[in-house]
Amino acid sequence: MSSLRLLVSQIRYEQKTFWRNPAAGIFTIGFPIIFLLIFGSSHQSSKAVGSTGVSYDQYLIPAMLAYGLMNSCFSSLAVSMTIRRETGILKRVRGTPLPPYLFLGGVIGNSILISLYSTIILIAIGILEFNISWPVHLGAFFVIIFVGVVAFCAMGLAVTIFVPNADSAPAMVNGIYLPILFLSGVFFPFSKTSFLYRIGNFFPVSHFAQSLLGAFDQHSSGFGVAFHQIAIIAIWALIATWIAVRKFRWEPRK
Amino acid sequence: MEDVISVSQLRKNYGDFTALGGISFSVKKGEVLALLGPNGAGKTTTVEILEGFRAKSSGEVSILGMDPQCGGRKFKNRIGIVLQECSIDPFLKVHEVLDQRATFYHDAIASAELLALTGLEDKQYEKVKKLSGGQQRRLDLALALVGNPEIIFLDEPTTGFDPSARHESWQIIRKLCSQGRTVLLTTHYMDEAQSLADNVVIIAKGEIVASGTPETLGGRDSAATIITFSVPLGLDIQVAGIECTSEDRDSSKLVTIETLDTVETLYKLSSWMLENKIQPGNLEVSQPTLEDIYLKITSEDNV
Repeated sequence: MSSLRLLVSQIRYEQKTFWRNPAAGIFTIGFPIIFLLIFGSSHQSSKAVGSTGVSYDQYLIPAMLAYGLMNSCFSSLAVSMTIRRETGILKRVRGTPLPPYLFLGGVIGNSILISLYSTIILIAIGILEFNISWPVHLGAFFVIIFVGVVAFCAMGLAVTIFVPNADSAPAMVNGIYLPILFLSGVFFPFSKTSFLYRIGNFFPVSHFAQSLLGAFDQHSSGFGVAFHQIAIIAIWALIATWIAVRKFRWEPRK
Repeated sequence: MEDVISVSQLRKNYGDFTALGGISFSVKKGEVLALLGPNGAGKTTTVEILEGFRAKSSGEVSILGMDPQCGGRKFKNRIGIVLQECSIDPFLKVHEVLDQRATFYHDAIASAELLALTGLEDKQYEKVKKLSGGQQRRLDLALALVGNPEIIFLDEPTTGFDPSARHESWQIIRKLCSQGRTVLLTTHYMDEAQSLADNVVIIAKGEIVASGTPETLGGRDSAATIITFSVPLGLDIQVAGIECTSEDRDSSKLVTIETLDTVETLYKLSSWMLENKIQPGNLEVSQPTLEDIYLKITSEDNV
């Protein structure tokens, strides 16, 4: 079988596994939807956010997209790959002629598909329910989503190196990504002068959400987003990939 | 027959710890080699080096003429591996797991054939997580066979099986050998080694302490025969000049004879019983079992 067909076949089986585990599906795709509906209904939509001119609803969509992508790339990859490593599934794969890059390609491809579903559903709800417009700067939108997906997947794979066993995987992964989401202003916005905002700006998620907001904003000009923010996400992607490639473990620690 | 596995002076160190201290053995095509030894002796380390999971520290390993460390895809295409722990994606169905595995190989065996071989036809549409432990283990074996492997590595393939499931697995393994495949297995069950292996290698503390066929291992074939039987209490058992020991039990006396001249001793013994009209209870004539030999070889004094 050619490499490309093998990759497609791997993604298909990964999708089967994902959808047959209802807990994974609900948590990964469902939570951002639920949060969007709760946050979206509990605020006054017309009220402007901080010093910007955007409404809260408009702010919320990119924020929930960031949450959705972190779920489907970072946390679901980190948890499922740790569990597979600890139960010996990864070792077993290494004992077959399937090249490791095709196995990882299948896993990442699965995450990309889930991100895609999540993104489409969230934007659809935004348009239907909260009167959000389709992203104005479409080119920028796709570039940001792409760079974000790559960065979050690489971070998800890299973080498995630090998770010691399957039992601690969900707790540790939540312990890492929920604070990052908070600090990145995904659940509620910070003023740009606050200390927490500056901490959050260290991570790629806030840059991801802010760039996306730019892509949705009719008032932003040109490409629609600040290139330095995309660069920061890309740097995270490179560093995480470098760590993952060097240190990824296929077997439990002895 | 050619050697399909050949290992010479294989060493493995973990820091200062020597896991394997230079072992050598070989396996011919179509043979079954059983690797025995106490926990921590180096069995799994050996198998994992041969499978390509671990790098050796020094020595030579050749599997089908390839070095497992550098063989890559070509090497993995020709071997099948059953690991000690059974780990199959729990949410996929049995036939899906087999079909998926088949996409990895050049020359895959049809899943129907493997399901029949491992007796899982009825379960092919079940999810893996619904299978019993024994069924998962059989699926594990089926997965190892998908690539039509020339060499199969089985690391404790029947641990935790009930007796009939173990015998069924042995049947499968024998069938594989009759197809010309070579099997290297590790086990803690001596009857498994006795029943399947052409050759046995016993490892202890990273060294080979004995090797040979199950029948001759450790001088088993030339060891003393042990004859035991019981007679009523109080009976004088000076048996026609045969040296023996006796021990009083609750209602009878247990007599044990150790002899190198089995036939003559049995002749004398039975004549004595006939003449004196003695009905012996639980008469047993035994050579040391593989287990006896194994325990003797691996006991602390010897290692």
